[in-house]
Amino acid sequence: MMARTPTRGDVSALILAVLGEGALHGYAIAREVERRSENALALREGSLYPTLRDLEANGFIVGQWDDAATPTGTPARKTYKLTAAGQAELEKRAREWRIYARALDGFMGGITNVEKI
Amino acid sequence: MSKKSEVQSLENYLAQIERELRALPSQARADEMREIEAHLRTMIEARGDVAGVLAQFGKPRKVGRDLRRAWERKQPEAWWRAILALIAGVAVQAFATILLVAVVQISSEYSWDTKFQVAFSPSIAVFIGVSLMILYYSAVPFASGLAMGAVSPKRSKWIIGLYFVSLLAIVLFEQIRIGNSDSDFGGDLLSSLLFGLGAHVATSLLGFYGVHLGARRERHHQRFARFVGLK
Repeated sequence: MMARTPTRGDVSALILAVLGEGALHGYAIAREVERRSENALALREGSLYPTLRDLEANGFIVGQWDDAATPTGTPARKTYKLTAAGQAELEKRAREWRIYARALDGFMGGITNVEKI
Repeated sequence: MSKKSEVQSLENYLAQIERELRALPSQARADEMREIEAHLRTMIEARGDVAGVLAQFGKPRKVGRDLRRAWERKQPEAWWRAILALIAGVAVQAFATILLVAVVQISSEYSWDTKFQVAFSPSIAVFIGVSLMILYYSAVPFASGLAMGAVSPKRSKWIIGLYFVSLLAIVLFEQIRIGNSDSDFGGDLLSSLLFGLGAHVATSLLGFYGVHLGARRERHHQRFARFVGLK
């Protein structure tokens, strides 16, 4: 099955969900999205950073530079973590998603002749 | 792809993103570029395929533009900047017009216009005169747009658009009124309308371009904002 590019609204939800498990930097967020979606979601990684700025502006996440370079010489990274407002936003979006998914399932769930994934 | 051309590709890609971020404050721009470069280098280290990594990251101009717009959303523009931009635009035009009137007055007092016509053949004198007028009517809207864009990057394009629409309405009204009047002014109404329309489209486009440059050049913006006491 071809990987799907999430919409802009979905990208912010994905970032909040990933950061809900712990603080991460941008590259790690992208890899975690790939891993947890089992490569079903293909993030345009450049879309991460504008979304991270929007989430920071709304007070849902905070970013902090870790100025020490890693042992392998990779440059310093900025790590993001959820704020209390971000956690509340994540829970709100998770609730909305469950309602939406249940509604869709009412239509799609009954269709049986789908190709095996 | 050779190592050298891979490095070149990455540098070109980053340069294109940085170009879109010119309007950001210097430190913010440096931080964004640092973060994006770290991300790309880590991807390249993991995958080895520079072209594939750059394609997956996205088109550089789109990445830069989306990032710049995210920053602009963070910093909404105060409403009074639009009024200040309008004043700045009108002030530039008023200054240029006063300067032009002063030059015309002085030139007639010292007979510069006569000396000018004597010094050059009639056709060259007309050519120089028309060129100077075209320069005046192009430089003034451009300078006006530049000043407005520096003061109110977000709203100046709307102001220029409003200026164009209102002046166009005035020009159309005047041309129709003159065309319908009994005066001997006469002239071909259609050609007058087309000329007026063309002149306003040209001056408004120059104004828009000035706004675009004024808004995008951070150094100019910062300097002008400090000059008028906004920072």
